Amino acid sequence: MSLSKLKLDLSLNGDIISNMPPNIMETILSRLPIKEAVRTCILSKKWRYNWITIPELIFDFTLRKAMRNRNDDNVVKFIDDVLSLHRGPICKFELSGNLCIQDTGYIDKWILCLSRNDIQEFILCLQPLLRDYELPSCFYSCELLTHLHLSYCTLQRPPLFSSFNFLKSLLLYKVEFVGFTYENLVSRCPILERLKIEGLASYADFIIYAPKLKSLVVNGFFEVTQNICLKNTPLLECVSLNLHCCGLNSKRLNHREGENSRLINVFGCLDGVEKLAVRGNFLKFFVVDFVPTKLPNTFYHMKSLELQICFNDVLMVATALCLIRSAPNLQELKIDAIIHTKIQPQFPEIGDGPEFSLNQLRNVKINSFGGWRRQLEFVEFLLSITPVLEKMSIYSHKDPTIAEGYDPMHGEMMLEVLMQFPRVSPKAKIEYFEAGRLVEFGK
Amino acid sequence: MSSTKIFLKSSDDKTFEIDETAARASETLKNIIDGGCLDGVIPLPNVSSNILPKVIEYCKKHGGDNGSSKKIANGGVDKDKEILPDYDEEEDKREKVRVDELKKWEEEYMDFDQQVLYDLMLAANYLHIKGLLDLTVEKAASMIRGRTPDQIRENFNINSDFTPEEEEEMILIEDEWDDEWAFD
Repeated sequence: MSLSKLKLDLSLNGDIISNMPPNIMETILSRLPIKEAVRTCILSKKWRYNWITIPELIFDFTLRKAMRNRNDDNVVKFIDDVLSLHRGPICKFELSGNLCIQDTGYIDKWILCLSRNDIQEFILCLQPLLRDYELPSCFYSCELLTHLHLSYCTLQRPPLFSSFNFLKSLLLYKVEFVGFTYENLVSRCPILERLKIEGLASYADFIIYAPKLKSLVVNGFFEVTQNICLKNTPLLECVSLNLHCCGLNSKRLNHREGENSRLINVFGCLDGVEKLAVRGNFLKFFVVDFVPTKLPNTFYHMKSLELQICFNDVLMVATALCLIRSAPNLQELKIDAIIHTKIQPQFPEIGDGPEFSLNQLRNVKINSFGGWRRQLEFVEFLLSITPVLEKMSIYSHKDPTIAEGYDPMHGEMMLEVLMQFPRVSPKAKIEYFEAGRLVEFGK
Repeated sequence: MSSTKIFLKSSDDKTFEIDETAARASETLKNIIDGGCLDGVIPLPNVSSNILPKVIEYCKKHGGDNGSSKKIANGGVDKDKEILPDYDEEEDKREKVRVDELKKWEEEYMDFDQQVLYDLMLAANYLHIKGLLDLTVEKAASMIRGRTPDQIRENFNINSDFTPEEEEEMILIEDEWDDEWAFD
């Protein structure tokens, strides 16, 4: 566009940019890939040391590409040189790009450098091979951290009184813990607002005590015999638990007298939650326990709920219903309605009559729908308790391994069955999709 | 809707009018307004009458919508969407139209010569208008990104004041960057 125009008046204006205030210069250089920012040192004497105070150092996958010799050892050397020449605060440091770092002594040294330069935003994404790499203890001296993202590394027990008093956002991807737990770490982050854990593989209790937490995302595996507990989390707005329970067959746990039900341990403190997603087979976690009809607390603020339910499991459906019943102001509901086998156990009474209804629910989306009787009952039930429903979208999913010997209804026939269900909402529209395509009569 | 008028005086003593809501796009002006030190006219000794109307034009467009301009600064990614997919497709579409419209406006707005770029950068820095600083700084960065040293020097009229020997040495260093990384 205007680059040519920008060049026009060069002779008139001379070199102005070189005399810009340092903070503007740093901002300009921060926007360049690190290699290009460093390279400006050859422009002129004034530019020679302009780059050394840039507050953000990002070494990502573009760096290796920018090197003429794409050897990881050279990249490591480059990072090391940049850090040793850099002066002043480093607000942000990112090391990613799947670098092969043979000598982890470099990383120790870099973290030491960051801990002395007021690091606030620290992103360290190492190669899976370095999973056993233990962060040095000086990592816990990065006390000004506001944002921390770690991938593939190991955390050792922090020194007794260290804490991250400014940390608001914490993302851990396949991070191992030695000698302490998530609970210990989170309890040292008093103002933490966002916590995301990817690749949880926990055989210890998972207890989160975080008074300022607004969003929690946990993906991974969890031993069913362990305990999960969310305590003192009044500000949580968004919760997504995508967990696969292990050890379901080996042990059968019974609810012990005087103990909180598992549902209450996990959901009992989520009074402010607006969005909740429970995926994986995590609802199973509650099935080994006593499942109440409704939680003692009510999710008054919950607008959106997403659940993965296995329709073979009566108690899993009961757990799902318990959550749905506890969210009277729900506006959107998304169900992943899985069926594993042909065997469909006798359901308990699914509907609890006209005394219960979801008076705000406008949108329902059901995935993995196979036209099974249990799923149909569930659809019928939802249509009977949603007076302002606007749209129910049902996506069919035909699993050939299950459908053997079973001739499921499909196409217009299925649509007809769905359309015949009584709907309490006059506005409710039903859309039925097969293989992603909308099924319509006469088409 | 408050439409209190604020008066700004440029370095060359010309007075300009701006709505309070628009003026709040500037942290500096916002602090003056909130601090109650508003004494008729706010003098801006670092901003000339050539550039002030351009600054005001930006503030008018962006005043009072700090939240949505943040979204654009994040590359249009709303952080919460990483967590749970948003259901409201209509809202998404409206947002997209709004962002596209704003991008188009920015493109037209940013069509000016290099002197204006510097003045605007300095004014945005002085008045703490983050969005405007981002926009102008990005423009300057785009004149460096992916270019050879000579092209950059030409773009900005930078004179290399290294002696031929030093220059030779610098080039050698540059060549070594990819091999041994011999800094001085």
